[in-house]
Amino acid sequence: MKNKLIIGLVLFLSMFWIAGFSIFSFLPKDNSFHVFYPILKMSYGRVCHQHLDKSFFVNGSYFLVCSRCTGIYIGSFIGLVTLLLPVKKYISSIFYYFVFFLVILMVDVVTNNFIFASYNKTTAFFTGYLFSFFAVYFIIFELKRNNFFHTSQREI
Amino acid sequence: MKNKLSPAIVCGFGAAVLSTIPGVKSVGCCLLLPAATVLSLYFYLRITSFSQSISVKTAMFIGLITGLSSALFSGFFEVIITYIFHTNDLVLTLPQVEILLNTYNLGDIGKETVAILRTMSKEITAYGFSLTYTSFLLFNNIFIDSMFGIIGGLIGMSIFNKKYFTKL
Repeated sequence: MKNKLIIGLVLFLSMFWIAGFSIFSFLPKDNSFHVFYPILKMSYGRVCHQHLDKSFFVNGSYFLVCSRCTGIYIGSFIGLVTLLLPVKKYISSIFYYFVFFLVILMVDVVTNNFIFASYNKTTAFFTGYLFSFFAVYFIIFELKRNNFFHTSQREI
Repeated sequence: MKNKLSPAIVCGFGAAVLSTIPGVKSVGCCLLLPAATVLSLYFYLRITSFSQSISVKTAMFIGLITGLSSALFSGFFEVIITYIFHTNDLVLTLPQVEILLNTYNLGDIGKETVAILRTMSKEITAYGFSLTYTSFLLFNNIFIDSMFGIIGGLIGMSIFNKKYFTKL
């Protein structure tokens, strides 16, 4: 039960983070939340290059992070959601999935930045998505294997 | 313990240096700081001679120190560069931000926001330093870098515990 509470909390933070970079695409034009645009742009700029030609353009506004980062954050969010679902999820070779998609991500970064002149937003999104999806699974399974949730339950 | 923290500080410094190089940031993106934390955990394991597995507490602590180190060093670099050149991203992008904010009907709150941004921009152009901007920059760097450092710590812990401390 405690592990679901911790995952739920991280899920909430993840949702908050995703809302932060995408909210300006879904707000009405006269919403006063737009005054936070410069602050949020600067905050997300700390962890993303924010090139407009590499970002998704939705409802007349660009996301504040590139398509790869969008994929990474949404992938981790979906990963956390599926972890909360009441189905058996143990995948014995999760480490190999994680490494495989990490390699795919790195290959895509290299090819998109150094080999091909044009940047493919779709491949960037999906490589980021798959990497972070399995990264979340890998981390949670390792934490479970190391009795992290069990220990914290006892301490509390 | 001091010796065990040095990898985190060095890797944080490395991440701060790399994050100031535009081309590297374009490639590394949001994975730069977690990668630096994974590297610092590897060096931590080398220092401790791979004697024991990494606990969650240690991983998060090393991630936090790497993030803080990166935040402070990159903040320092940004302040120095801004002081030398009397310009930065805020000054350069202010006209576009003003145009964008004017397209929304934000009323007085919009005007006040633009006025604050203009004041910061004028201070930077005139003196090469703005206390408001620097305070926000440091707060932002510390918050974001600590968070990504901790995430990197958890990734690193999972990788190294699986690789070096799992009985087959």
